[in-house]
Amino acid sequence: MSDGVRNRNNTGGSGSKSSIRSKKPDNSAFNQQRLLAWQPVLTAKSVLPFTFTTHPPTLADITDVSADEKSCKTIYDELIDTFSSGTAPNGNPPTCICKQNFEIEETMNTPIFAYYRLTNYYQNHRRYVKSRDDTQLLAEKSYICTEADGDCSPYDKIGERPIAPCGAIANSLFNDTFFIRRCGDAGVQCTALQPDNIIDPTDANGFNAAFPTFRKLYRKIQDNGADLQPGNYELLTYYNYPVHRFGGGKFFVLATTSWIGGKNLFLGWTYAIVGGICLIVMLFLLCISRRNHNRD
Amino acid sequence: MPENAMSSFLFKLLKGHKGKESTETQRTIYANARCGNKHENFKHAHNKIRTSKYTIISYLPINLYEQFTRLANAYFAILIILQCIPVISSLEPITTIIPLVIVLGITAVKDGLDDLNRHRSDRSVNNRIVEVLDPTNMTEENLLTKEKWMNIRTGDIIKIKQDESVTADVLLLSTSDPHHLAYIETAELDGETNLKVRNAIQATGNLMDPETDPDGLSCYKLAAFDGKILCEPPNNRLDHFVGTLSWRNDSGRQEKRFPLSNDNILLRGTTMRNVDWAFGVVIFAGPDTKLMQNAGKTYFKRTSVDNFLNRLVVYIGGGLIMLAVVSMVGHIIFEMYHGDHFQAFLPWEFIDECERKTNMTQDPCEKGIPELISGSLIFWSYIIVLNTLVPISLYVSVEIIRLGQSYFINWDRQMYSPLKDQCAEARKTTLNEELGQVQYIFSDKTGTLTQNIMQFKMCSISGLVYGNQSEPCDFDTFNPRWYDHEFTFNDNRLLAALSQKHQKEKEFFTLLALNHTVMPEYKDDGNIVYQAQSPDEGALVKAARCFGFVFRSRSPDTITIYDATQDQNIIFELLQILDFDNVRKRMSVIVRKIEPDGTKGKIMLYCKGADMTVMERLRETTDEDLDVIEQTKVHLDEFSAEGLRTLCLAYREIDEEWFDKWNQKFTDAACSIDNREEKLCASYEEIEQQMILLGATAVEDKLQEDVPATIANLGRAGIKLWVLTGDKLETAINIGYSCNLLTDDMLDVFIVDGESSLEVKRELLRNFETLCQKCHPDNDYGLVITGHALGHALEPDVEHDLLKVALKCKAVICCRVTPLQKAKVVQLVKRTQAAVTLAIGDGANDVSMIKEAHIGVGISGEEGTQAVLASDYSIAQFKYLERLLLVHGRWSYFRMCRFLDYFFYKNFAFTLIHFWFAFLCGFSAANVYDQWMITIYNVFFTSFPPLCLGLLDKDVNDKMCILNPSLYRLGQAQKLFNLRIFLYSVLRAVITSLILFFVPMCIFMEATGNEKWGMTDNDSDGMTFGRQAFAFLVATCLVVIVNLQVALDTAYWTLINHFFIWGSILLYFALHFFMYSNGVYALFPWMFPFVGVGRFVIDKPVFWLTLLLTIIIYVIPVLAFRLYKSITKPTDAEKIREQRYKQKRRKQKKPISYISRRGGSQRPGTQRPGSSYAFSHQRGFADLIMSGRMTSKRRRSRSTINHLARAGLSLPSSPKQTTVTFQEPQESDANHIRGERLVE
Repeated sequence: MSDGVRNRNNTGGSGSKSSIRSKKPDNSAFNQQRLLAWQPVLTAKSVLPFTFTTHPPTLADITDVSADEKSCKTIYDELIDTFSSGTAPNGNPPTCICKQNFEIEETMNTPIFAYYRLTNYYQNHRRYVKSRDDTQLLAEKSYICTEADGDCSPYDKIGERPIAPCGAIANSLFNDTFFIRRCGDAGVQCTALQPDNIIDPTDANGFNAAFPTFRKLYRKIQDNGADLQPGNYELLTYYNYPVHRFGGGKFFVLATTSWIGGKNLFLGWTYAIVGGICLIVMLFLLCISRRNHNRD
Repeated sequence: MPENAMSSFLFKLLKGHKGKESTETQRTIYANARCGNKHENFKHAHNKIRTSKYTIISYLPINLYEQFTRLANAYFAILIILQCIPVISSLEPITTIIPLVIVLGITAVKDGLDDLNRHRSDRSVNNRIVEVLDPTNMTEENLLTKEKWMNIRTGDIIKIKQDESVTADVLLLSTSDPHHLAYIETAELDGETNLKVRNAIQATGNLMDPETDPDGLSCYKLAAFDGKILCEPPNNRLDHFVGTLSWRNDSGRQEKRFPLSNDNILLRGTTMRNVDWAFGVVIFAGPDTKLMQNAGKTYFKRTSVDNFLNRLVVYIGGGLIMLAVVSMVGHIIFEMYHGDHFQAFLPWEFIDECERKTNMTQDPCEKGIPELISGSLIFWSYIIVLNTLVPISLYVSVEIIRLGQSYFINWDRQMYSPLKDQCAEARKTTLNEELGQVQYIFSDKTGTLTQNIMQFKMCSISGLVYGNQSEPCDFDTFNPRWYDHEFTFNDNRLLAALSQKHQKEKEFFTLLALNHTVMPEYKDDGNIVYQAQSPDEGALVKAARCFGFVFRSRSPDTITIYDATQDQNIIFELLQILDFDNVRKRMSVIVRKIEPDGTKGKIMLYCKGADMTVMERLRETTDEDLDVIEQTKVHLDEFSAEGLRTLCLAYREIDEEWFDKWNQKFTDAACSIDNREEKLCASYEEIEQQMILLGATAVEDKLQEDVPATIANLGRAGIKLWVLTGDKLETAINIGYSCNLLTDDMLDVFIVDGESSLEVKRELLRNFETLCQKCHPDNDYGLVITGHALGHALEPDVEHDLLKVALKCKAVICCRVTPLQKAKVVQLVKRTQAAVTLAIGDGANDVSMIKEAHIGVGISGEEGTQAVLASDYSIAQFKYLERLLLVHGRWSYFRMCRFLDYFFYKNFAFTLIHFWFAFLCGFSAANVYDQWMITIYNVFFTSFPPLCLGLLDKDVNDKMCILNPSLYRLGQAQKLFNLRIFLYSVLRAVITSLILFFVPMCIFMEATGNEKWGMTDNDSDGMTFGRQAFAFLVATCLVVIVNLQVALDTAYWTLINHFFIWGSILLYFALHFFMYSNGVYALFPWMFPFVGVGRFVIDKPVFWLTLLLTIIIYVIPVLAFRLYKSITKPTDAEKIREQRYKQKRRKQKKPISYISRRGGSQRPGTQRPGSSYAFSHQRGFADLIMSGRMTSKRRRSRSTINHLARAGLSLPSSPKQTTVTFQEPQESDANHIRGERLVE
């Protein structure tokens, strides 16, 4: 046996030696399927602590944090009928301005994020997602003028001249414009927010929304002095973006964030509920496990 | 099967087969027609054989064709085509091409390597050399030319030398034997190791003269031989040949016709023995030979799991179409009610023409047309998006797992036989899990269950048992010259008795030395080797030799033995042999001792036979007689209780006058024309009377190691064993008992041996009634059926009855079956029962059944290699079957099922998310994931852990598998993977995908990015999560959960499992962060559109919290459910594991109830099967011996003469040259003559 092993190790050895070697298979743990292994046995004792330890902290913490954030959401699309009924061709000056009052109940500290929110808007439609040209977006100027991807159709060219950036995504860039004004208690005296501490976020190009209901960051109010105090505010919108025809809704959202991000009730509550259910299941299993154990 | 027809057509086309149809009704062969214009010969196949599948040119097309006939591969090929159509292409073709190429590549390489081996073996056979008489190429000195086997054609006259294998099927023309005999060994062909004799017809035999031309060189006459042979077309009947030879031989100018039969034919695959050379004319070559015709088509064996998988793939295909239809309808509705109005941002593709035509007039374009067009395209798009429901890497993964499992079988040291230096080998690597589902084993007997070694174990001589002592006999001093060193006998009393010249003991061994049909063969060192036609007989003669009664030689009318106790040769005059037959079950010789001075002694009749037949004919006059009979009966019971084969021996003195009278009658009977048989029998009866019982012999048919224990354990595993043997009824029953197959617990052992189909049917129905009357699970029955009856039982209207009975019996033994019948029995069970069958055997006669059964196991033994070559697995001994099935089979099945269960689960979970997403993306066939994720999900992220599962997992270890054979039953019942399990795993996948989709969705819908800690660059602060972040989140959750699932499924955690499970998750993250990095995007912007996603989400707690939440929501219920099940309804394996776990905890080693590993149940003598005169030979030998044909003169035996002369033997006078034709017994092909012959 030891001979066999030595021959095996001696890789540079002569061929004749190995030919005499018996055909007896290698005695390695792998070949003989005797690898050291851990064979966990599923018992109440081994499983339950695991379910138990995962929960209490998450339960308390995450529920807390995710419910804590403040946000303020207002739908401004309702007023469209009173101001305008037509669609506006893109790029033209605003055809109408709509006005909407809303109330902030608690102080919102900077940074405050302003979002527009659309519903029933299928940005995740396959053809919509596809309708752009990455090469064009990345490319030099000369390239832009000569070619547009076939996927961009019908927004690939006007006549013979290519459109850049081409495609439905670029074509449907959100172009409503918002202004907020602080109003007095009576709602008469309104002051515009300072424009210099509002940052225009870089629009990451490919970031379409995943769902038909989505919001996207519009502006950041970042300056320390710009906290929004409780009170009535007025939202002025240069109305360009038509959504009513396909049953869409447009919202304006102001929100703050914490370490976990914006307010996310679902996350918090799900953790709480899952934790609760686990507790019940655990107790149930413990009971039947005990009962079975006693019966044995 | 149009598919088969198609593929065979393609094969022919590519291989360049001649389109010759086998409509040949008669074959005409012109001998020596190489140069002639007899074109008839050229139509016949050449002697080239081919078992390989591909040539270099045809390899790729055929292999690809074969692969694409696999449903799954064809499916993916079609998908790729669909993906190349831009309007419906919802996924890049690359997502399918890459995995498919990998999958096809692996399979193609494997197939290619397999075929390379076949090419090698073909080439070595085809290039063997044989000498041929080639009229076109002969010289004066040398008529013979050397030719490769593959160049031999029909009509060629070839010369076969001793110990060479026969090149093709040839008609024997002439041999070196003066009587034109040739001996062949047919082990390769039918598994029988005994020699068979073939003869050339007299006319052609005389073409050579072995007397003057001992080396067979001057074959002028043969070279001029121009006979024409008319014979049957190629067929697969090994024992049948009909033909005629028309030839104008020297003597007459007229053409004469000679009938030809199987006796004149040497078949390819046989080996020639005992003659120096033989000439023959080739009649069937290459593929036409009976060997190749018998080889049959190698069916591609599929396992039941394979078939089930194929069915599942079809079901899944159906499900896929359903989902696509639902999506299509959804899409149409969506576009009608929403998409239509959404056109400001996303115009329809197919609107142009319609709009243009109507041109916005009041008559609007027909409502619904664009939606319908779009919808019908979306149908295909969804087929593409959801294509991963059918797992592309399924088949290749299954193959890899099986390959790995096969290696584990090859590597197993516990299936290594040090004796033969051989380990188990999985020759086909596609059947492993079927080893875990076997329900019927069909086993050969000789060489498989038994070693085919007979040993004289015990004897009872006039009421005294010998051989039950412990110390071995000292033959060295007793009989140094002749005793066989391998022979042992444990009783010195017997030697003492012989030394003291006890009359009975001497008589006993004299009988053994005289009463047989054995032929002695002298080796060069002067030793005798006995050529017995049955090993029993050999064992008895050998025993007699060791005890000092050495059978030296025989002539037609004398037998010479050497008596060691007196140290002299004794010659007996052989007066008559009353041959053995199946009815008489006994054999007698009538001899007269010739004293050295020439006086003749008394006439003695020595008889040996089955106890029943001998006991009936004993003299019971004296008390001593009765005493001996009584004692012997007791001993016989004891012997057969130990599974020994017994024979009774008796003798009688015959009055000379009486004998003369009887002999006259006997001669008359032998010469009578009508009722010869009956008359002979009557005269036999007359003389075999009033015999005095000498005693009984007990011969052990040595079983292979551990056979009874193995059979018992396999039985406990719910496997039924059917023994199919060529042996006789009694032998078979005896072996059945000795290897635990038949037991005394059995209520009844039915014996079916009817001669007509009606009779057989009646017997079966009667047995079935018995079965039904006492039908109780505890009542075991056995069934023994003879080959003849089996032939009838296999007829279509009887087979049903056979099955009814056989399936209820615990053990079935079929005896005297032909190879074809073996296959038919297997086929019957396979066809009618939804059960996995396994055939195990070692000889060429088992090949057909090995090929027929779901699994064929060959025992790599001495009997040629045919069985092993045809087998799927080869093991060195029967006992390894236990480990092969209970351990490797069970593990393989367990692993494969766990793997498949998981594999479908992971693909469903992965794919169904697309479907849920469809409801939120307007059924637009948008995919959730990054396309790279889709491409490599199956190849990298989730492939290795399940492979580890399929290769390494085990629920219980090997010892437990063998100790608890009931664990095997879950494979037979297909408990681990069936439609229910599959649906359950689909359900689990549906739930998983719902969780995976909707939990992240609800969270991400409104989630925004958080502030960055301590960083000034907070670009992403407050940003919402887009489609790509969502895709990444879902993909991450999926990969983690799916890998955790495999972790939960793994029962046996080796380091390798750890490495691959955690490694897969790490690889996922690493690869994604790499693919989503700016650098890669800058290089290939169009390939990696998800740039920046990784960087975006990595510091978002929402992302990680969602991941954690999703995992918890999935894993906790699964764990809880499993725990619940294992508490309330534990599986057998779990129970065993828990027991062990507890035992370990208690640190006290309870003895586990070990099954007795010792074989040979000691059964009480109540129901023993009776002694068996177990000679497997047929009658007819006595004729041969007495006629002298077998003992005729031989040139080669000169040295033998010298030996005998030196030994001082007076040789009997030459027998008259005989003209008795060699008559073959009607029943079979069994003229098993080991033919060294004595000299004059």
